[in-house]
Amino acid sequence: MKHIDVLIIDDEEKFAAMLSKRIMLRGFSSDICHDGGQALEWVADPDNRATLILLDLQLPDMYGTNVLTEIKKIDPAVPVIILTGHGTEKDREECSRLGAYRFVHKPIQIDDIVAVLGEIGEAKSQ
Amino acid sequence: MNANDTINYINAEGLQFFGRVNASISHELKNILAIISETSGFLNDLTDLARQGEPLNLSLLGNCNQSIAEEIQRGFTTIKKMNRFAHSVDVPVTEIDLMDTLSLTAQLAGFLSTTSTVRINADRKGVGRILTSPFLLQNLIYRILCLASETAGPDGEISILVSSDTDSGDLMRIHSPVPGTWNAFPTPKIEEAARILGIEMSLTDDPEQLQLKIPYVSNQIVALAKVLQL
Repeated sequence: MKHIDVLIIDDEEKFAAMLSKRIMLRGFSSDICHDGGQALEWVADPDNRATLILLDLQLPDMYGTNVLTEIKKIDPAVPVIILTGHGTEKDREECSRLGAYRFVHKPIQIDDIVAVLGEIGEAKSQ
Repeated sequence: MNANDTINYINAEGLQFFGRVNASISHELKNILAIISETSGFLNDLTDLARQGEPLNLSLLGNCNQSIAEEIQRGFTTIKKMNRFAHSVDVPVTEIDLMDTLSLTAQLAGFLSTTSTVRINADRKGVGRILTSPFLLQNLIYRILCLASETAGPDGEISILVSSDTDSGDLMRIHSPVPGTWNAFPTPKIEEAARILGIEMSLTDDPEQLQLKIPYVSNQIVALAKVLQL
C-alpha cells in the first residue's frame, strides 16, 4: 500500500513540482498527476491511498468537477481541496455540492495545507 | 441579415469572444504568478533551513532563480500577445497579413488547456495582404481550432497549410489526423462569421481536412466597410 499525504492534480508541471517540494520539506509525502485520466487511475489503484487531494479545475482532458465526481465514486471519504486559477461562483457551488472539502484560489498558502492535514488527522483520531 | 443586424451580430459575438480570450489569458497569468509564488515560498523555506544551520544548496537556488526568470519571460510574452489581441479591434476593417493573424490566433487558442498543438506552414514566400475584419477573422479561426481540438484533444496535433488560391486570395487547409474531427462542422456561428467575411469553407475526404478560401478582397467586406463608413 502506497499511502501518501497529499496528491496534487494539476497540469502546470512547475507549479505542482514546487508545491510538492514544499509539502515534503514539511515532513509530508506527496505525489503528482498532470491530468484527470492519470489522477483517476491513481485513485482507483487499490495500492494507492491519499490523505488529501488538491485538484485543479482546468485540466487538459477533463474538467475538474468531472474528476471530483469520479474520485468521490471511488473514494467518497477522501477530502478534496479545489485549487483553481479562476473558478467561478458557479464552480464553487458545484464543487461544494459534489463534496469538495474546500474551494481555494491560487496561490494557496502552504501553512493552510499543513493546517488541513492537521484537521484531518484530528478528525480521524476522534 | 441586413447591415445593422450584421454589425449587431459582430458586436455581440465579438464581446463574447473578447471575454473568452481574456479569461484564458488571465488564467495563464495566474498560473505564471502561482509558479513564481511557490518558487518564492520555496526560497523562503531554504532560507529558514539555512538559518537553522542547514547548508545552502546552491544548485537549488540556481534552479529557483532560473525558474522565476523563465516565468517572468513567459508573462511578458503573454502580455505582448494580449496587447496585440486588444489592438485587433482598433480598426474594424483593414488589410492584414494572414500568417500574422493565424499565428496570433493559434497562440491565443493555446492558452486553453484543451487545445491541440497547432503547426502552421506556408508553401510559398510572402503571403498576400487581405482586406478583412481582423477581429472577426480571429474569432472564426479560434472557433475552428477549438472545434477541432474537441475531437483531436490536447495531445493531438492540428496542421495548417497556407497557400495561394490563384490571384484572388489565400487557401488555408486545416488538417487533423484524428478521424471525425469535423463531424460537428460547421457550427452556426462559424458559418455566420465565414459568410460575413466572404470566406468559402469546404471539407475534403482524403485527407480529411477543412479548406478555407480567403479572398484578398470580398464583396461582403467592401459592403461591411461601407456600412461602417470607412
